[in-house]
Amino acid sequence: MSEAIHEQVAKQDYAYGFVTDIDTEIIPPGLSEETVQWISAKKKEPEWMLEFRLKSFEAWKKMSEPNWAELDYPKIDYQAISYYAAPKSLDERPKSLDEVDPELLETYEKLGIPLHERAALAGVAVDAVFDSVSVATTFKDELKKAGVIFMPISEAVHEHPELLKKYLGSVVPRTDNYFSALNGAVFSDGSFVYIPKGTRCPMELSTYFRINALNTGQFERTLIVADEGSYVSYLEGCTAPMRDENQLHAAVVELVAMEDAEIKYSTVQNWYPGDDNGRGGIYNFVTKRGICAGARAKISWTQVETGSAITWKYPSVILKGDDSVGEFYSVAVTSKAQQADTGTKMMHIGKNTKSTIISKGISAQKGRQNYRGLVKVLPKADGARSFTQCDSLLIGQKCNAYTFPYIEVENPSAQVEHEASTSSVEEEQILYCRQRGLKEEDAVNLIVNGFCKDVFRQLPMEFAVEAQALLNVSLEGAVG
Amino acid sequence: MLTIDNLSASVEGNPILKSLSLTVGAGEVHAIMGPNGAGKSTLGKVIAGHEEYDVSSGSIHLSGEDLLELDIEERASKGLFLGFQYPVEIPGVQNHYFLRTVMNAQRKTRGEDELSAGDFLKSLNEEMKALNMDADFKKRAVNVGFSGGEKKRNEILQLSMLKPSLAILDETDSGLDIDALKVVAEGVNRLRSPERSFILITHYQRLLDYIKPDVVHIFADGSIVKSGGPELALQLEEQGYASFGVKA
Amino acid sequence: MSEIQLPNTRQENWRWNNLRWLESLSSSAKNQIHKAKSNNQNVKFMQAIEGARESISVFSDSERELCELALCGKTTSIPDVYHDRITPIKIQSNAPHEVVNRNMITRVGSHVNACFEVDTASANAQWTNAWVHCKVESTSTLDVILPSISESQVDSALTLTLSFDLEASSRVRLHTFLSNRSFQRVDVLVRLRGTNSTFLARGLNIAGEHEEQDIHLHCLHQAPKTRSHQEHVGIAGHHGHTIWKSLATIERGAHGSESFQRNDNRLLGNKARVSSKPELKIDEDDVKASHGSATGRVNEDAYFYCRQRGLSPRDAKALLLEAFVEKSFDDLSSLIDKDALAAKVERALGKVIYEE
Repeated sequence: MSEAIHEQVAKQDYAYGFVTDIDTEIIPPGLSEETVQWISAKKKEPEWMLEFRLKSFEAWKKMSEPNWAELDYPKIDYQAISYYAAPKSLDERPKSLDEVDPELLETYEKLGIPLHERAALAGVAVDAVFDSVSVATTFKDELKKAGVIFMPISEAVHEHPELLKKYLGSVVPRTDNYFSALNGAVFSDGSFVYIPKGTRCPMELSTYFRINALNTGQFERTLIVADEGSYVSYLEGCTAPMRDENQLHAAVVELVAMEDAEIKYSTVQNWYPGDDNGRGGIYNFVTKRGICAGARAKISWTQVETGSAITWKYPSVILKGDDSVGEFYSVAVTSKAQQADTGTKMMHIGKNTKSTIISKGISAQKGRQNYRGLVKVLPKADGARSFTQCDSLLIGQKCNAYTFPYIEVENPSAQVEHEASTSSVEEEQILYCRQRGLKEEDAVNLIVNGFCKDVFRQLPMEFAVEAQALLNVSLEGAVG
Repeated sequence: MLTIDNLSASVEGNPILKSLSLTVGAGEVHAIMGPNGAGKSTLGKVIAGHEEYDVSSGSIHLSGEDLLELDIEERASKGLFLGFQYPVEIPGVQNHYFLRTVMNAQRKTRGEDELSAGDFLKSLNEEMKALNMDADFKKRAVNVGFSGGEKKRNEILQLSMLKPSLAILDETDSGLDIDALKVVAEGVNRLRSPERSFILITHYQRLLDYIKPDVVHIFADGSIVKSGGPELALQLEEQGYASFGVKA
Repeated sequence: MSEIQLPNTRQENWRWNNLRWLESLSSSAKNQIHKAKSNNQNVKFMQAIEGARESISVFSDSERELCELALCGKTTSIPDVYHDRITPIKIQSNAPHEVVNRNMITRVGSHVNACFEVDTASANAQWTNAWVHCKVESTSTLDVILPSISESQVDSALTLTLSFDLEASSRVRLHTFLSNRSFQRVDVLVRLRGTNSTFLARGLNIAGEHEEQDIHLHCLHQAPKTRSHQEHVGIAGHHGHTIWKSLATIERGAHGSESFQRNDNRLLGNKARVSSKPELKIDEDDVKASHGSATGRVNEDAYFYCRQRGLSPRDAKALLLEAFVEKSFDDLSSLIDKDALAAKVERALGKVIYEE
């Protein structure tokens, strides 16, 4: 590729890097039992919720940060982070959008997520989470009519304690890992979804996470329960301002799909990635796991990861119900100085369970990317089937791509297949496209989009276009 | 149409083209024949603007435009088409999408409006029918898993859609069986017109049985050693390169 | 001897686990192994070995000391190699209750075709550990074959490290056959240090009843245009565990390199286990790398076809498994008595099928 473009590492704009100037309540940095109690009290939580937090905190104190991932970042000082930040205007939760601070509404407007229903994306209900609290949830009434519960988890604690007590921590136990334990202690908000038996959720559900305040971490918790024979498609989006400091994001997502239920969970992750030299950006340590609890249940993870300085994330499926299905479709881009260690785990427990993994990793500039996956077939999983396709694309001389796809089979009737490849955008491909009239950058975009096609196909229509655009922006100036 | 004057080019310091001159008039078909390794393919790549080659002297003009001043894609938009000897595979990008993207890119560069999806599909279907191509060809990824013959036919399809003023076909006949060769030749013959010129780069006379050239050039050691009418190709076929003082 | 460079182990820690594990084995772990062994408790014996392996988390020895340790005393040198015959590398140990360690350093001179057969048949100590290092000079070809299949199941452990340094345009072909021993672990370290060097590995693990057959490969591409090609097949019988772990590292600057890894497995019988761990670490963009794996039971259509043509279930399975392992014999040096080896493999396969 041409030297000119190689050197023209365009001062690429992160479109969502602005800061909202709003009066914010932030607790001082530091984490102790008192902090946990303070957060719980602030949210006026019942005793059982406080207990959940304190037990998580106890577990966290005894654990140490995992270091097996191929990631390189300075030690995080957990006492230097503030664990709660919220716009003061949201101290009392607004009853309607009219009561929401216009500054906040404008923020979401700028992010392309208008919260007024007349302007909102048709057919998509949005829960907007700003720092530690939920700002607003759209289309609540319409969902209510269908019997669907979609609300901030902090409200659900009060309104649906029986569901939360039953399912919170049922898929990702408190002691699962260092970051999930931390989340259990200090999680602030997030979304709760319950789809009743036999219900097809009438619209896409979406949560939009925004980190705004300086020096804070975001610890959201999402719980989706799809009861027997129900269906839901859920999408999360994430952005943060450009700051020189790193910010911690440690979320937990739990999915429960009962008999014949289907959950489709899509992520377009665009946290601030930091600058070309690795300064600033979000540390994204996320635990996502779903369980196909009943027969013929299906959970499908689709992720487009273009942001964050560090990504540590393995959306997984426990295939417990017979004939249940788990899917993982991923496009991950590491450009600038980004690092990602991501992949999935498929645990085949039930009979005739099926899993599909399609992972496309793109590494450019000084990006580092690892695919880490495990397909495990336990002794009772007769007739289990699994297929993995995991490809890496390298653009440039300073990036790298590592692949660790582990396979453990303990049942002789299982069929587990795995294919992987690593390649680069070939000069000949670029030349061919250019001879036919494309600009070099457009040629690279065309080739990269072709490489990711199997995954983009899985995204809801509206977001496939967004994801594609995001990918192009992420790779801007990466050609060379 | 095309005027090459005294062109010299090298790759990594090794001279490949040596003071080559060539003029192709509008509507003419020229065949460039030569032994393997003589640098025939280099000529096509240098005209197209491949960055691996350094042009040390000389000039290339297409319809009055100085090509050496332009990037590869700009030359393409000026009506230059290079048919690749080994068409490149682009996984995940559907053929029809690729064609529409490149056509619109060229139109944009020329300051023309984009083609509507309907118009595009209509002419694509017509061209594919003329080339005897299955409809599923559109949906397949560019050249991925294509046989040698399919790849070459795909090049001819792109050629007929892009309607260039000058098409350079590099060893288009290599690896083709006789039926595929006929299809390709028919495609080219159909596209012959007073406004469109062709340069056929080939090793064998075979292709010229189906596409009648106006001028035949014999190419050796970086330049043209002899030019003549179609009879030159026949003479070459009978007597070999040695009869022209060329090491085969 | 002095001109032979020992591997720089800084990035290759995992490979040393065998040696370190051995050297730092606590006496209590040793006792455990002895006890389990003397009571003829096969499973416990293996657990003890695993336990010992895991109990070592901190290694105090510096790498240099370790290298010296590896070189001291028991090193055998094989200076002469012949291009027309097999040079046996004997890993001997007949002492019944002892852990035995053997290290060998070998140089294969320029323009030499050599063939080593690593002879493990006499390694009858309850636990044998050995290290064989080969330096392959430019344009040489080295064939190494490790036919570690005893005639009958041996209740002992063998841990073996094979390391190869390849100079420009040299080539190593490695064939491994592991079966009929309670626990075998083979670590293979390959450093493709010279341009155009090639490593080819074919292997077969047959993990019979209560056996664990474990092969780990690490192939480092350190020079341009280096190639590695690995094809490995595993069969796990009743309570058997076959493990294949392969790491291919393509370092920055090793442009034009190619890496291919393939691992296919068949599970037979209850409690059979397969672990397949391909790993790729790529720091260079101008490369081609791929790996693939398929694990399952015998192809049902083919099985049905064979039965319909009149084969018994046992014969049908045997036929299909023989076909499955066939590629392990590809590229085998003509010096090797392939028929004798195939007969050994066939007998090992027969036992696995029978166990089902």
